[in-house]
Amino acid sequence: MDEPITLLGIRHHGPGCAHALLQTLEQLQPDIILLEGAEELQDSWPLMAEAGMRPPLAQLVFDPKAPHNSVIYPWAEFSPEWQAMQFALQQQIPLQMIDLPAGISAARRAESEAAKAAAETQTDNKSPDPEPAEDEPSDLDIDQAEKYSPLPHSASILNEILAAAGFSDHEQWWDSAIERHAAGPELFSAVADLMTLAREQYEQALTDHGPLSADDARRLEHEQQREAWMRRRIRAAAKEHNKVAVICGAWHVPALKAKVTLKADNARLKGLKKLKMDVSWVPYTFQRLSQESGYGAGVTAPAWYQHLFDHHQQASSAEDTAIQWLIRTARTLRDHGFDCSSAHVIEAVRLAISLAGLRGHHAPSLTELLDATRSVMTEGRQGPVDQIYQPLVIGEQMGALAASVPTLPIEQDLDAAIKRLRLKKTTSVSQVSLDLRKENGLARSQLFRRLLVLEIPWAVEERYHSGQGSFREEWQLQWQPEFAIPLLDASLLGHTLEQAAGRKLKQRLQQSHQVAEIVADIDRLLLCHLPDVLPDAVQHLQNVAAVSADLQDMMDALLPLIQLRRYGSVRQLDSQSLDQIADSIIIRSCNGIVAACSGLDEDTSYRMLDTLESVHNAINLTGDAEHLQRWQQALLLLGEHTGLHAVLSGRINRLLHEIGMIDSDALSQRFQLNVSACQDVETAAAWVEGLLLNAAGTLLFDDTLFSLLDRWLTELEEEEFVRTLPLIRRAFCSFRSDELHQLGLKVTAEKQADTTLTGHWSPELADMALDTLGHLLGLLPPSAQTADQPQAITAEESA
Amino acid sequence: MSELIKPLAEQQFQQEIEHLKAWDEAQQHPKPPQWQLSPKAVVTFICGGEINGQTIPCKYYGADRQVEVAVATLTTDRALLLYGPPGTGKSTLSELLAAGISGNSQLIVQGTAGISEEKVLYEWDYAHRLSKGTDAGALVKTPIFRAMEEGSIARVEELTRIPSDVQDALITILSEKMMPVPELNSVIMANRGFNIIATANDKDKGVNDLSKALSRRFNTVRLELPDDAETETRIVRSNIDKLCKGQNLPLPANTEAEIQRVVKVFRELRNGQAGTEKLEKPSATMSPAEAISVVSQAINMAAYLSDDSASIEAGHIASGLEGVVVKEAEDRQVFRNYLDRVLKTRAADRDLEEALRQIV
Repeated sequence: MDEPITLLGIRHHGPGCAHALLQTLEQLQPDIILLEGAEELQDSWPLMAEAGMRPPLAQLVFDPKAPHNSVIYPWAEFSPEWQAMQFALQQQIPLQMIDLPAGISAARRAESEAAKAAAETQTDNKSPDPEPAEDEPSDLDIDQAEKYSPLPHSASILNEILAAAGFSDHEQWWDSAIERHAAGPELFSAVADLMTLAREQYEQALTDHGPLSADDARRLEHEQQREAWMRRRIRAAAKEHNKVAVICGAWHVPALKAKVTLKADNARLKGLKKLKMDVSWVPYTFQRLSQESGYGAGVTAPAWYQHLFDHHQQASSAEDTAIQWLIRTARTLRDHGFDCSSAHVIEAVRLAISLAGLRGHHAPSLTELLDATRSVMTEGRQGPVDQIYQPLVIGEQMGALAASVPTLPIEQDLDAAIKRLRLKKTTSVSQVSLDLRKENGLARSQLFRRLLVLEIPWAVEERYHSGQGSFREEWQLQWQPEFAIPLLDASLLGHTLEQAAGRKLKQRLQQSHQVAEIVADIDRLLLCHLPDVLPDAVQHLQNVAAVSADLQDMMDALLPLIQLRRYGSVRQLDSQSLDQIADSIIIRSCNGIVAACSGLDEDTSYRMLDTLESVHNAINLTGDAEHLQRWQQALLLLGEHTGLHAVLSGRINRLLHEIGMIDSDALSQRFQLNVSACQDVETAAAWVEGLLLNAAGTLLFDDTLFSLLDRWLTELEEEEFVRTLPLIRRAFCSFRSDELHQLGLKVTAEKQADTTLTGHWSPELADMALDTLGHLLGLLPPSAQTADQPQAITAEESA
Repeated sequence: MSELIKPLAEQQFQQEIEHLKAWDEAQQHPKPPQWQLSPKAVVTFICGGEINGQTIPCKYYGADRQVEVAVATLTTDRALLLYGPPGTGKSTLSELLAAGISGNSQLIVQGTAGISEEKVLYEWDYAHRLSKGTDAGALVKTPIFRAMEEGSIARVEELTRIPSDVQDALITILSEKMMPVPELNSVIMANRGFNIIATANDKDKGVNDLSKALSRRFNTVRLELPDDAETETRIVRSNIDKLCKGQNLPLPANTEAEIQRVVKVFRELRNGQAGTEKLEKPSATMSPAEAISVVSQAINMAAYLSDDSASIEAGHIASGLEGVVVKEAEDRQVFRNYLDRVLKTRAADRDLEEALRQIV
């Protein structure tokens, strides 16, 4: 340990490594620590010591001009790097970040992106050239990829070596052989030995390997550059310090130890371009640490690692660690409503320990503990174990930043907007009512909607206002600390909310090939006031609508599209460009409607009802006489078509009657045709349902329809009536309660009228009564010969 | 000379057990009291392995982790409950565990709906009681009784078929490790090494569910139907080999192909999915045990009833398959749909489809 340079190979986010590292540093007392982290982190890492900084946290290194070009360094309390940084601060010794600057990798990425974009435009320009450039093998090009065998993988070589020791993979080896133990400095020499062996095999595999694909060659070169850079930094540090501790990923240890001349390293690092990068601290969560994809760290069980680290630090026995963990398990199970007694915990501990012994481990690891949990605590059921996995094993811990730490540009933008609009981030619920005619109201609404696009539901709209005609909006506000996470995602899209939301919607638009979806997104663009994206979006809509064969999708999009055009002025929209699309959709709808409605099954027919309704409303909204006439003709054609589902046919005939295309006689003729005895009763009922759907008003005031229905219902046999009832009920469900009430009144009134009117009406008798009345009132001269008779008749009538 | 249809596991694998004993001795593996093999050796005995140049064949496939949990359970003094759908080899595993640990898999109580407490605890020899009075000699010992005395493993089959009140007679035995005999005013204390392996069927759920008090005495190991076709084929294959050897039947040449086919049909029907197509599922469980019986029936038919004993015909498979799938009247329609939608479309299965069409 008296060597000037000590290499400590760790596993990133390994709690056992973190513990051993602390022990080793205590013992070693180095006068400088070198850490495998991008050079850009150098200035900002000491901020970790600020009061209020709570891991898990991450440092984001990004290109200020293109924030999506970024690297993230997540750190939990159990990460060896975090512990090393803390140690350096406590001991007041310098700590240097010695990895290749992230700006160099970013420059390379930016270059290859630009090259790819250039290649794309090139192939766009001369499309009949399928041969890709020789040095640009795309992922899609299988022939190209097959020429090269894949780069030897460090993990698979490690796995091969460890398989001999009975481990299924290197992750399992780390978990059960390293992290589970509270080891000391001896750990690092053992790990270094293993890695030296693995690296030898790896180099051998590289030499045996044929030519590399361009991607692999680049990757390999990048690795070598990183190691060369680190070697150079280590040499420099060793010149000035007596005891240098280098903390790096275990895989790099043999390479950093290797004797390579400074000249060779310099040659490798010559002429590298570098971008200027910004660094920012961001809060992180255990949940994200556990996600392999994206910017996570692939730590499968953060909460378990935290538990292990805590117990290593407290020097608890292996048994205690297991016991405490199973107590936590039992508590979590109880929280989720499962029974779990102390006796269960005792038995689970015994089983876990005995199982670990059987599997040759000195202490139970997570696998044994979960096996024991399932076998003892949940009676062999996997379900409850799955249910508590997230809170127990992954954990719900969330990091927090100190107020003094500078935040991401997007966060600053958000805070500025909040201040400007006189809002407040509070975790309690509050209500905001907006008037869109006022500048502040409009700006607030736009802010809320932009945040929603970025999946930050700070404000939720209380009531849905149909259309944009309303100028009032009600919002409910509640800030959650975890919004920091989607804000982090957003920060990768842009520096301002406007930029990020625009980019997000643009990405979404480009992936969307449904006209209705695109129209909804354009609506969102308008509501968020992102005019920069609008031309592209409308262009995309045009492209998709032009080639779309899905007529129903387009018809569904029509009403929102027309509304956009109509109400766009409230949002200062220049809606001219949408006219053309709407016109083309209307024409195509009118031409294609018969084909689109034919041969549909029941479910699709019901969906088509809504579509028809919305198209009808949309075309009425345009007020364009030509469109209207075309639509009416199309409907007329549709009404005569026989290949429709009964419910559609019924609905269309009522529509035709409402707009005066067919008169009452024609309607009653079609009614009788469709519900006549030769039709089966369910088809008839479906036809009637279509006829009645949302038609309470018509039914109330149109006697033709009412009497048609009345007659049909009264003529049904009892059995048929019972079968029809549910379908009729369904139609009546669409009526409002006051409409139902009025209909009820109408039915009873009709019934009463029946009883009075069905008596024999005799004009002669009435005349006589009138005469008598006239005499009584003295309006007519008295007539002697008829004086008795009228009285008798009046008496009879009153009786 | 007469031969046994199915020898006991401890007899059948005697040589292997001796070999593992020697290994334990040489390696000085720690052994729980009264165990003839160390826990590690028991796991190797069941899951297979290579010990000092001798290959121990795997006897229970695809559930190494569960076997480890089961063995670890028995090293503590907790009883073991093997739980799962019918035909997943719960009894096989229970037999292997008992044979490996105690060298005796015969101490069985078969759970039935009509079983009484006497069959679980002890019975009386009334002739003895009348002639010589009530003493220890009048006790008729049940398998559990003897296991307690000998310090070995007792097996309870189909625990959930046993009425609840009789089940609960096990509680004292499992928690206090003793059996009171009030008539003699004494208790039988269990010797070390005693434990119980019970099996239960999840299709019987809700019939006689274990009381909380009893289930707390068991560690439960769930045995599921095999995850992948490969494991299932291996299970069927190894059992067919064993059966044919026992009956001295030659293995027809196309056995492997037919096993794969039967397993495929089983899995498709069980999971209700063939390729990307969704199918209806029959009511039957369709476990590996049933696949074994379909294939073995086919081999027997080929051997005794067919002109050509060297190959299994589609007709032989068909008759067994129909019996397994069609348990209730509705299953017939499900099976017919399967023939039309799946088997008919596969050229290689056309022969089976035609053979089935004649009976279904």
